[in-house]
Amino acid sequence: MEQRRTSSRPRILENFDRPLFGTVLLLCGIGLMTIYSSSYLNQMEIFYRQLIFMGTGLGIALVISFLDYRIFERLAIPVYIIAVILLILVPLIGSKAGGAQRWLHLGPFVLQPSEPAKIAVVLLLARFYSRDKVDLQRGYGLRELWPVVLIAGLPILLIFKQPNLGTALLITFTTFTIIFLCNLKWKSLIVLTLAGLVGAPLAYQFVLHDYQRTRVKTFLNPQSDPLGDGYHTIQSMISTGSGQVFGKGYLKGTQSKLEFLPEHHTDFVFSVFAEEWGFFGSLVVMGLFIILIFLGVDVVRKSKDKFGAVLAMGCLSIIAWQVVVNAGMELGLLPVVGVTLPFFSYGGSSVLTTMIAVGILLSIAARRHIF
Amino acid sequence: MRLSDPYNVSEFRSRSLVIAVLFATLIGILILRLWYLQIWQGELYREFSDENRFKIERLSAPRGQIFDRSGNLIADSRPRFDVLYTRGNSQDLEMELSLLGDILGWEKSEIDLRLEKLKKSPRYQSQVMMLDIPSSKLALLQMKALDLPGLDIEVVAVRDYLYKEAFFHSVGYTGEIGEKELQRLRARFPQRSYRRGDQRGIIGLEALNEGLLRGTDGRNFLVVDVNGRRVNSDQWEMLPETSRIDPVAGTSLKVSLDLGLQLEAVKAFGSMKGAAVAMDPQTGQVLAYVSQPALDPNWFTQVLTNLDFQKALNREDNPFLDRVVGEHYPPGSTFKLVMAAAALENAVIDGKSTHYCPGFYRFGRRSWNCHKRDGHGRVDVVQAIAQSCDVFFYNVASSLGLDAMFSWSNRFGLGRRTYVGSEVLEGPQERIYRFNTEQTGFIPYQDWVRMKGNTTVEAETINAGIGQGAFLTTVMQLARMVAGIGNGGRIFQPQLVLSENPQDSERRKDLRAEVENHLRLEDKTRSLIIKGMEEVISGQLGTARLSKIPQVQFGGKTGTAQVVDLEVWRRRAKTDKKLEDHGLFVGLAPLDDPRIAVAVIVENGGHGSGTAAPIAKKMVQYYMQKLQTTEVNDGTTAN
Repeated sequence: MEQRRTSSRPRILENFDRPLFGTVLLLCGIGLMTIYSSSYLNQMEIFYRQLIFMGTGLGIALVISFLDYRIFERLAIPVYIIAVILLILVPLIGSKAGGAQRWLHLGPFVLQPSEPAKIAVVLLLARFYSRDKVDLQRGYGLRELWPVVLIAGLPILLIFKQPNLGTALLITFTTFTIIFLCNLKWKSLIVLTLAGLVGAPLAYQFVLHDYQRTRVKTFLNPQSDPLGDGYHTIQSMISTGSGQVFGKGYLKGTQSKLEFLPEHHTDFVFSVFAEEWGFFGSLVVMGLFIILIFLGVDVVRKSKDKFGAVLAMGCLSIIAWQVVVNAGMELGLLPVVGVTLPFFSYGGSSVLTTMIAVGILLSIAARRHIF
Repeated sequence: MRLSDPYNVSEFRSRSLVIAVLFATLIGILILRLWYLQIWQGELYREFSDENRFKIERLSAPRGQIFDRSGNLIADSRPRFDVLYTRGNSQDLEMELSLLGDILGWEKSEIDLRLEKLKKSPRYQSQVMMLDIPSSKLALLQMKALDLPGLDIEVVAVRDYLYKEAFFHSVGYTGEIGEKELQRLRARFPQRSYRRGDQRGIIGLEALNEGLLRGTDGRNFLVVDVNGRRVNSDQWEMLPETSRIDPVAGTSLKVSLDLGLQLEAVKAFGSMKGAAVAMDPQTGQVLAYVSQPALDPNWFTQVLTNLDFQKALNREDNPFLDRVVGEHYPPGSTFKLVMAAAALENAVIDGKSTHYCPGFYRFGRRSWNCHKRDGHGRVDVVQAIAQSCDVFFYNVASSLGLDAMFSWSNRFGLGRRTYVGSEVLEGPQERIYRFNTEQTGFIPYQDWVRMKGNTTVEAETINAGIGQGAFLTTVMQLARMVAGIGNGGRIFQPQLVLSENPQDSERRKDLRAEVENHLRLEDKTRSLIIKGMEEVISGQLGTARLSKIPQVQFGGKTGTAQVVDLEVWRRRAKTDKKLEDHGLFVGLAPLDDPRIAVAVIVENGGHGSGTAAPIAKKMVQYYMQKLQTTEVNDGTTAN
């Protein structure tokens, strides 16, 4: 044991995925810069806090990257149990804000348990798939998916009840990505898709809260209530659009500085960036995300075991889906559901979750040649 | 090392590639969307964001000042400070409003009323709390501004009339624009950017010269945050310099009115109702323009409740009525001047012709009385004017005929609008605005009498001979008539505005009164009538001999206009003041080279010699004295 570690250390350093980490660093840098721009006038403490979160997060990511990811296979069940317990605690002792109960006060820290729950679900799913004896070449049918539904369903339900539609959807998307990756039969995929198409309107009608229904309605027609629910979307589109080709210049975005753009530290941070850097800046950031996704998929493809591959895809999905949903929402393509943008949005739980995912990816990447 | 899976992971490869492509496609859609928002629609959204952050503050432009003929300021502009409050910016509405109430001295109920109004208002729409607060309160409010986050003080330029009631009908007054006028004014003066709640001239010169007097409001672009609060743009070097357009004051006017003379006339009226006009017979400039009773025009720029306004509107003595041009009266005996002129010019009589007055005049089966029941005896035209003999003019009327009288009245400008103050428009364009709803008056003519059919042409002719019957003229018409006699027959469109921009030598524009008609009276005609007018005041038997002015050649003609016919008057006039006759007087001074013509009417003032002539006397006396002193002064400075 001791011997193996010493012998593998230089190889791990050698195999460290520098492009992936570099891309992450770049995104973190741009993200921090944007948070500075949106907070320097009157909320500098937000920038400093984010700086600390980012620093801690990157540190944790590096530490995780040096760990052998296979210890997560052993940790998967305890992590999952803790995450579920935290989610159950939220409605009991959590604090409320904006009509939703999402936060837990743990001493000096405020935790949003739905964030680590994303990782917990991915971990347990990876463990399930790696141990499941179903023939991958034959593919999974719907009937063999009940453990997956159970693993993902419990936290999704708890998060949805908070209510936090965004994160619930995000875990759902991530789960489906993993299901697809692990050789879901094409026939089953078609059935699932059809079920989704039928189920969505039904869910809209019977499952969603009133405020969520309003958001969807407003999304379909933001002008219907420009000062109420459509306000977020309209102001965010104005911010982005007014950036035009080259942007208004760093620190010169009027929409965020004069606070026309709501929640410009968290959910709508990309609009701040787009306003100041224009289409070219946005193109750079979107390009970096695409690079990140391809580098991540490369980790999946090159990982030497099933656990690593599923875990890597899970971590990548968490990040990628957040990018798609958040940006879609900021650009007025999707309803406002409260999903943060990885590397950009302010918030400890969100930053740390993203960084843990990055760390796991790096760890898997570093160990793809050791076998 | 144990691998978690015993078989090949490469199964994942193709599917992970599908996922990568899926994500890349989704991000591609996002990029397309970015392109659409930032490039395709970028300009539009840039406009939206500018609209968001700029608030346009209007800088209210002062109206043009109005000066009298010697350059004394009559109407100025002052800033009015209005207190507004916005619900959305306040923290604790009730507490803040009670603080505001303490400063502005509101009762509890007034505070509650405003609280109610605010609570019902849209979140970020400011509501008027109080208009026109004194500057002492303004300072207090500014000190407490931090405790009143919803407070806004709007500065509106409003009129300040320095002489209150004195120029109510002539200069006019300003007030808030109503919904209907807004459309009309916007159409007529598109450059002037009218807005609801703006001030505009309602009567008098203010209304007539609205297009000149109204300034052009300025604009100030303020950078505001989402709450509409002003952002100090110096601290924000990234925000563009706020561009300010300064307000431009309206064109100032110099009017022909003489401040001292106007005040003298108002004083002379006291509490009597009526009107007085003084005119320079040589230039057609109106020197005084008085209609009584009048209101303080400043009242309309201040807080005006509907109730107060209704009360003023329903006053029995109707202070809104401009008795100079807006009301017409029978000219009474003042018309005898026109009769005399017509008869002399038509050679129906000459200076030596006489008629015998037995105290009545008989025509057919009817008889007309002279006001002197025992008769004037034999009178010539001078004495007929001096003693106002009715019988003489009954005779003259019969000889002239109604249509000749109609034509001569018209030539003297009676029965025609004077268009006082209006700019003469070239060409056949209709004059758009009637000054204070100027009345035409009415002169009877044969066809009209026949059409009407309630009397004979002959009877109407005889009545008209002494300015009674269907006859109606305005005081302004009488003034330019008597001025015409004084200047040898020039009938003016009376002038009220002397110059635009009087203090700016480059943009100054001087105006002149137009001669509407030149009668070219024979010297003999003129001198006989003047003689008669002189006798009215200086003669032993003159009707206004009590109004003599030492050292001034003052002449005139009294008149009495019946309000009801003689029978009713006899029965009721003693008990009902409203049925009392109107007293009239027209006058000229000095007679050989007139510098002032006056026309005065005192409603229900009885005979003209008792009420109207003394007012005219005071006006003439004041003005002649003023002319003398200024001419003496001019003489000394010239030396």
